[in-house]
Amino acid sequence: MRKELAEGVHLNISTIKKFKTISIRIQFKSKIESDQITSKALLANMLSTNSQHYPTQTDFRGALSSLYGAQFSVDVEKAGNVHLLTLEMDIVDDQFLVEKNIFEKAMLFLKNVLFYPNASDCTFHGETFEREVVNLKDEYASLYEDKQEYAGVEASKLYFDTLEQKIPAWGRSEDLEKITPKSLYKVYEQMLSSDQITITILGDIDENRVTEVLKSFDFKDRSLIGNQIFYKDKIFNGVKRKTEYQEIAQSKLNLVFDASIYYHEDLYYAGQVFNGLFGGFSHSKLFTVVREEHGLAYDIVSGIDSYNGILYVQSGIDHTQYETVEKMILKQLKRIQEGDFSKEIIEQSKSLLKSALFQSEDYADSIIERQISFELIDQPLLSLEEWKDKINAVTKSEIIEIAKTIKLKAVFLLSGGLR
Amino acid sequence: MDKFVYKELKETVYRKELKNGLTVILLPKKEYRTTYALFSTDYGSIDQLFIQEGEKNSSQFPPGVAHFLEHKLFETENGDVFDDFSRFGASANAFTGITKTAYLFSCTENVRENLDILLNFVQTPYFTEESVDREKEIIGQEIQMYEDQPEWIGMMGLLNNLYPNHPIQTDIAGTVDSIKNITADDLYKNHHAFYHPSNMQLVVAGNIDVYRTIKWIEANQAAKSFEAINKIQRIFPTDSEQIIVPFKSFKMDVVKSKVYMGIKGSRHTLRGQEALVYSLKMEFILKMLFGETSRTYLDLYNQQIIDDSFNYEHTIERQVDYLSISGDTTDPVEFTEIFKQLLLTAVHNPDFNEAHFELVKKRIIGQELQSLNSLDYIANQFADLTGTKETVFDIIYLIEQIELQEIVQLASQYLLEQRLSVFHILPDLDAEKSK
Repeated sequence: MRKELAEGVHLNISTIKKFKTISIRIQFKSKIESDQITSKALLANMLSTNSQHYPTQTDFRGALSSLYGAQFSVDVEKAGNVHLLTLEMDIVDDQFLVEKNIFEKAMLFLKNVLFYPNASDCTFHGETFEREVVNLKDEYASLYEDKQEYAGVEASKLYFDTLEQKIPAWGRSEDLEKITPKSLYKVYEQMLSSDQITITILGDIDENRVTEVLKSFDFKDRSLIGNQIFYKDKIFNGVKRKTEYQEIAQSKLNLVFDASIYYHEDLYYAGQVFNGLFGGFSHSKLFTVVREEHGLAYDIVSGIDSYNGILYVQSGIDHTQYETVEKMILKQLKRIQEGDFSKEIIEQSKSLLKSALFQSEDYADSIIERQISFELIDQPLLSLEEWKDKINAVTKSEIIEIAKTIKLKAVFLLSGGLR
Repeated sequence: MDKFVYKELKETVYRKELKNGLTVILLPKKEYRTTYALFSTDYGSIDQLFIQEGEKNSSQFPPGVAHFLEHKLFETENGDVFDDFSRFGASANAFTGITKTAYLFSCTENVRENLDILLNFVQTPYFTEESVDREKEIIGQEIQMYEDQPEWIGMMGLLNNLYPNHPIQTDIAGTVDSIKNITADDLYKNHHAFYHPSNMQLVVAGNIDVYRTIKWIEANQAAKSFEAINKIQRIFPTDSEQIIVPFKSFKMDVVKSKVYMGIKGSRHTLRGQEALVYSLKMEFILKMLFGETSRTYLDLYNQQIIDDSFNYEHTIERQVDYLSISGDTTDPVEFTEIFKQLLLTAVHNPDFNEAHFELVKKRIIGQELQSLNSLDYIANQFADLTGTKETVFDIIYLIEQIELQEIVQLASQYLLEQRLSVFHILPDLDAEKSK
């Protein structure tokens, strides 16, 4: 069921009986602004630490524990030109418990946390603010220790042209220093009053229970941000390259390509099949040629960011082999562009894509993610059967066509070799 | 076929031991689209020295042999198994642990074909020296990847301290040097010893018809011949909870120091329900002392002694029983002192009270119920619970039975200084300078 609670505030209820949980999501959506990214990340941490009703973490986490270990988090993400902040809560369906009304209690918790943050006089609580700033700083610093993630972030920075796309969803250190408890509160207020909102409830739950409890959530009308989610204004001035040296045993080679693969646009399904046979699956060209035939990598995989129209390849290699590996990756792309791939590999990729699609139906998170994705592109939800048909219909020439739109734009090497 | 009905949880489990000794567990979930299968053997990285029945002498194999074998089974005489699975729409994977190796797939169609592929590739070893040598390069890359992960170095460092004379302190994948010596013959010998059906278990969960599925599995197994059930005698060094290295540190290119603390237990011979209840009790101890509802957590978080990286867990497996606490910290010495005190005075901790116990119990029950959405969680729990009638669906009942007094008692027996060990990872300031 889909319902409009106020202008720009939507409620989706999916009654699904097979899970032992009820999933609740409240998502705030705005156009991405470079100077808000870090604030939103910090705000997410503040909202998941404490609140007026639960002033310490012990109170806060105690309330969640007493709701039978309810999982609560606040996440930020970027999707193309859109910025999302989501309150997520998963609770046990109380038909499996002696205690009842867990859903109502969980919604009360969410209301308290969202509408009564730990703030007074339009200023966030000082000590909590200080602690969470330090925490976020530590997180930025610790990115250095996760080499895979680090290389991915550096490759994105190299690839993107605009600041709002270069900055990762969790923000960056130099912006953190400019935020104050007061400025952060303004960001919070603006989010609450102006951001578009989607509320999703999924599980074996009666719709009346949901609408009844949401009556006390006071969301005002807000304007719609329009449908310009895809990042398409791209500049190409040749391949950008960067190498960084660190004391590491395994080097990381990341390639980022322009690709006209956008969520549910015409060639999207061909793009999915292309990615599957190029580097997405273990029968793919990259996995079988680079890893299995030549033993040049343990890890090699390609993926699509279909809000930004990007294809990326990441690999873990020996630093002496980076030129060989890059050439080998590009050669596999060229082979596909020239139609040098079998009917068999197309069929394998299609069958795994369909399998993954239907398997996703067994995860509450994936169902919600699919619903939200269609909300984001402002199109009606495609049924799994329709989606399957679209994958089946992909032809070899469409795969070649989409492969030809793919153009290398950035190469980042994190090298364990000597400078 | 035995049938176990869990009415309150709306679940039913079927179990059968086949003639060749293979244990099959079936868990139908008709509303699910996915079928998930997990084929596992009671054999892991620590099983490096053993005597086969009928032989006089023991054979010693290099560290990493179980993991190497897992990799190599995916290559058959007819090519790569991933290709076969892809053709039938299954995504496949495998993992090697310290006492288990498991092979799995998930799919939404062609369950019979995929079950056949799974059973056949795991039960039909095919190795050549040439392909074994090529695999050494791939696994070498994998090992190097781990070497760059501080949390992995930390856990291995702690295990080295807690088990200085035991093969658990060798890396699961081995080292670049140790795997150099692995031969095709080593792989055949280990396969022969540990991949007999009587040492294995197959769990199939999800969208299945129980009676057809067991028929398919039986038909597959009946078409193969196996030797009579053979007994393997695994050999391990004599160990006790007192044999530990109390402290070591290691420098690497990290931004913040990391502390790994562990306490070694002595109950690694527990099996089945006893082991399960024991590990649940340890979970209570850790959550009550250091969990996010404890006063300790809040104080230490606010004082910036711990941060979001703080973690704790207890592990019990064949040969292994230890708890670990880890976290990033600006002052590793202070972190260590504080947690040492907390562990050694645990029974007097104000958080060990009835109200907190009930709160933690609610949390543990709720999290267990939430996990039951996941087919892979359920199947993996069965793989961990071999040799017992209890299933994953008994866990909630077992949690409900636990009492505070038992927790306190266990804490007083377990949390002892002579069993405690510490491993520090410290920033390498020389590496810092050269940047």
